[in-house]
Amino acid sequence: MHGRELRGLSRTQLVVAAVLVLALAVAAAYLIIHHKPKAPTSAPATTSVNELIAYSSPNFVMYPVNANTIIINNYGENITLRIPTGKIVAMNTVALQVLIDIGAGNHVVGVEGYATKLPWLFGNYSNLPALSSGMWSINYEEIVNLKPDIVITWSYILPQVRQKLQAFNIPAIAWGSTDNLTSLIYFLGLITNRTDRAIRLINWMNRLEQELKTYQSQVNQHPRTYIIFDWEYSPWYTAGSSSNPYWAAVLAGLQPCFNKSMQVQPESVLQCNPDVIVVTTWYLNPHSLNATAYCRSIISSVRNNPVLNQTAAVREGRIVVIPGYLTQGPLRYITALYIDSVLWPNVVRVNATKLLNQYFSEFLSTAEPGGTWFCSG
Amino acid sequence: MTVTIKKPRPEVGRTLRSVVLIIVLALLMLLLFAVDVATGTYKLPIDWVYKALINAVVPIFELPTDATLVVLHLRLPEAVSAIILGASLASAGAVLQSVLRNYLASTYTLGVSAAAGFGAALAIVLGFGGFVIKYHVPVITSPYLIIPMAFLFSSLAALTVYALAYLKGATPSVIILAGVAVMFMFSMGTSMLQYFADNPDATHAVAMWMLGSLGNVRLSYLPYMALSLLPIIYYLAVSAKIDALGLGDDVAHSLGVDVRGLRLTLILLTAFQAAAVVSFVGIVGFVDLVIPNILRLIVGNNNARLIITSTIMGADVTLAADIISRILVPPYVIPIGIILSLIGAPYLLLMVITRGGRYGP
Amino acid sequence: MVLEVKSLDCGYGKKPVIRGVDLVVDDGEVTALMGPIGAGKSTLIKCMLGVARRFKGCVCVDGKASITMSHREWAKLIAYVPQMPERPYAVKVLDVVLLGRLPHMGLRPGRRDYEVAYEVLEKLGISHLSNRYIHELSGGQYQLVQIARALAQEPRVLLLDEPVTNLDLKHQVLVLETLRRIAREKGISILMSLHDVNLALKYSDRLVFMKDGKVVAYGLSPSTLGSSVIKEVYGVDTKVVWIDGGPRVII
Repeated sequence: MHGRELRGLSRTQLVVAAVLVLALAVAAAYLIIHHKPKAPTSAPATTSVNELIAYSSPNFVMYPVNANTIIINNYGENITLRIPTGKIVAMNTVALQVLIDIGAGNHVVGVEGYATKLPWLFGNYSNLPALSSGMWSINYEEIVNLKPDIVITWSYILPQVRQKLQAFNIPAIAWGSTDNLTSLIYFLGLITNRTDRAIRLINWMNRLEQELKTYQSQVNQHPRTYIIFDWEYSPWYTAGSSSNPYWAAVLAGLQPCFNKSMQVQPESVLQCNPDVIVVTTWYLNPHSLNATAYCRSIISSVRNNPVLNQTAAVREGRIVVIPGYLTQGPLRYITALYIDSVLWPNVVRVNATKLLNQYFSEFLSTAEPGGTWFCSG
Repeated sequence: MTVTIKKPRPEVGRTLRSVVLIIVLALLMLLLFAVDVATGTYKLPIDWVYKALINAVVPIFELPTDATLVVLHLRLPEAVSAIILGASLASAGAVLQSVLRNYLASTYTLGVSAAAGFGAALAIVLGFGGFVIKYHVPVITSPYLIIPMAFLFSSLAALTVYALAYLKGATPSVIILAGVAVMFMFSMGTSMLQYFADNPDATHAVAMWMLGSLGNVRLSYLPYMALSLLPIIYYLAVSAKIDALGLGDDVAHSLGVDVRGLRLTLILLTAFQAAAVVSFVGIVGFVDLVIPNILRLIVGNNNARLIITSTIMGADVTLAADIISRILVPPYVIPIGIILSLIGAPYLLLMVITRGGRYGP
Repeated sequence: MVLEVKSLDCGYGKKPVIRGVDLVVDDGEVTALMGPIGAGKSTLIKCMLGVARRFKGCVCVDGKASITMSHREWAKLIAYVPQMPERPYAVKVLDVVLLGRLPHMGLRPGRRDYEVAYEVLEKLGISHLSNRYIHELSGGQYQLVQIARALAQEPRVLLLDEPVTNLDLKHQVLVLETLRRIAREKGISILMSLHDVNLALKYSDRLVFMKDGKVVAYGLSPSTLGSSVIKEVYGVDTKVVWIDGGPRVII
C-alpha cells in the first residue's frame, strides 16, 4: 500500500490512455476512408473546349460534357451543372457583382450580409435574404428554403457549406482571394448562357489593364506608398498583401511600404517616406449629402497628423482616399486608374468618375451614377 | 446502553428534493429539445417535424423528402449536439471544480480548448498557406482533417498537463498552473499562425471556427461526440471519493482514496470530454464554469447530486441558447458561444446578489 | 498491543526526516505526542497513514504490517483528523460523517452506514448539528465533526494532528475529554500531537517526546514525568508540581 505512492500508471489510467489512443486511431481511420475524388478524364467534343481551357485556372477547371452540361473542378470536387442554371445563391459579393455585370442578376436569390450594406452598388439586390454575415453562422435552412441550383461562397467556409448541403444535393463552389477573377467571370457567364457578356467584361478589364501597363511604362516610376487599411479604425494599421486595397495599389504601379496587414510604428512610416498615401475607407456612402465633405475631412486629418505631415506624400499633396468596396473585383482596375490619374495627370488622362459611370451604365446596372466615390489632395 | 436509531427522515427528505429537481430538469430538456427541432427559418409545419423524427426510426408517415432532410440533417444534429455539448461540459466542470477544490476551474483553464483551436488553425492554415507556396494550388483542408487535428492537439494538451502533474505532484495548484500555462501557449500559437499565414481566407476561417457553431455538426459525427458522455458513468461511480477529496488530500487518503491516481484519472477524463466536444463544435466555454456554480447554490456540494443535475441542466441551457441563437435576429444565426455568455454571466451575478452566497435548500 | 511502530525512518523527499522511531500504543490508551515545532510529529503521523514516504521500518496494527494490507484495509484500521481540516462550502455535517464510512461502503451509503453515523454523532453529543452546514459551525464544533467522521470509520487506531491547538479552552477540554472517553469505551488506540504539556498530562495515559526527528523519551506515564525531560526537549526551565493527584508543569 505504501509503495503505491511511487509506482507508475494505475490500471484505471492505463485504460483511460488506451481509450484515448483508440479514439485517435478511429479518427485517423475515418479520415483515411474519406478521401477526395479525382478529376475526371476529359471528354471533349465541341469547339468551345478551347475557350473553356483558356479561361480555366486552378480551382476553376471547366470541362464540357455536352451542349447543356459542364463539369467544374473547384476546390477538390467535381460539380456537374446544367446550363443554363436556375437559382443562384451568391454568398460571395464579388460573384454577385459579376452576375449583375453580365446581366444575370435575375438568377440571384440570396446574398451575403456585406452586400446588404451597399445599396448604392447593388440596388434592390441588397434587399435579398442575407444568408451569412461576417462571423455569424450560416443559415442553412434559409438556403434550403430558397432551393438554389448552386451556391457560390468564399473559400474559407466552403467545407462546411458543402458538408451541410450535401444531403440536399445542392452543390457549392467557392471563389477565394487567390483565385483567378477571369475564370470566375467566364464560369458565371457559362452557366447563365451569357458568355458573350462575360467575354465583354473580361475584355474591358484587359483593356484597362493594358492602359495601366502603358501609362506606367510611360511614367516609369514606382512611387512608394503607405496604405491605411481602415481610416475609421486607426491611421497606423496598414493594408498588406492579404487585403484588397494593397492589390489595388500594386495594380496602380505603386510600391507599398509594408507587405503585411499589421499595426506599424509611426517611425517606420517616416523611414519609408512614402510618396503617396492611400487611405481606404469603408463607410463612404457616395450619394449622401456630406460625402464630399467627409472625404475631404479625411484628407485634412491626414495633413494635420503630426507624423504623417512630415512625409513626402503630404508635402507634395499626394493623398488619395478610396472606398474599400471599390478595390475588389473588376472595380479594382478603375480604382487603380484613379490613383494613377491623380499621380500623373498629364500622362494618365482618365476621368475616373466618368469611367465609373460608364461601368455602371454598361455593366453594374444597379449602381447609381454620380456622387463622390473618391477624392484626393 | 441502547442507542435510539432515528427514522432516516432527513436524508429521505433531501433525496426527494433532488429527485424532484432532476425530474423537472429532465422534463425541461425534453421540452426544449422539442422546441429546438421545431425552430428554424425553413417553413415547416410543426407536426411534420415530429413525424419526420418518428419516421427516422419507424417509417409510418408520408412526408416530402426535403422536409425530412431538413429535420434530420439540419435540425436534429444541432439539437442533439447541443444536448451532448451541454451535458459533457457541465459534468466535466462539476468534477473539475471538486477535484481541484477551486470553483473557478474549467476545462478552458486546462488548456484543452485553446489547444483544439490551435490544431484546427494549423489544419486550416496548412491547407491554405503551405500548399499554395508549394503547388500553386490552394487546397482547402477537408473538414475531416480539422476535427482529428483539433482532437489530436487537445489530447496533447491534456497529456501535457497530466504529465506535469504526474511528475510534479498531483496537487490542485500544480494542475491549475500547468493548465493555464498550456492554455497560453496554444492561444499564442494560434494567434501567431493567423498572423503569419498572411492569407485573409485562412485567418477568416480560423476565426469562424473558433467562435463555435453547432451548425457544423453532421449527423454522422454524433456517435463520436456522444463518446464524451461515457465518463459521466465513471464520475457517478466515484462520486463519494470525489466528495472525500474535498476534505483534503490527507484525509481522503486516510479514507482509502487513491488521491493522486483519482485526480489524474479525472483530469484526463474531463479533458477528454472537452476535447471530444470542442473538436467538432469549436470553442464553446462558459457552460463548464457557470452551471456547476449555479447548481451548487441550489443542491449543495454533494458531488453525485451535482454531477447529475449539472449534466441535465447543461443540456437545458445549451438547448435554450441554441433556440435563442436562431430566433433572435432571423435570418442571421448567432454563434452559440456568444449567446451562452450573454445568458450566463448576468445570471450568476444575479444569484450571488440575491442569495449572497448562501447555499442549499 | 495494538499500534506498533518499529525503527521507522520516514520523510518526504530523498532523505528521511524522522529516524529510528519506536512506539507502542495499547488499546484504550491515549498517547500524547509532544515536541517542538519541526520535531517530526506531523511527519510521523503522516507516515503511519501512508502519505509520507517510508524508508525503513514498519508500522503494524495487531501484528500486521501496513505493507501487507491494501489501502482500503488500512483505511478500515486507521483514521485521521488533520490540524486544520478543509471546510468545503455547502456540505452538511451528516454528509461529512458519512464520508467516514467510505472504506466500508459500496457506491452509496447504506442503512448500516447511516446507523453508524447517527450513533457516532449521538456519542459525541452533536447529533443536534447533523443537518447544519459545516461552514456555519465554530472551530470546536467542526473539530468534533471531524472526530465523528474519523470514528465512523470504526477504526482501531485514531491519529490526530494537533486537534486542539486552534481551539478555546472550553472546546479544548471538551474535545480531549471526549477523546479519552471514546478510547476507553471503544478500546481504540489514540495518538494525538499536542503542544500544551498540562493538557497532555491531564488527558493522556502516556507521553512521547520527539526532538529533531527522533524519539527522546517514550512511554512516560504522566506520573513519572520529570522537568529534566522538558528541559531537554523544549529547552525551558520548569517545575513539576502535584495538584489534585496529578502532575502539572509550571514555567
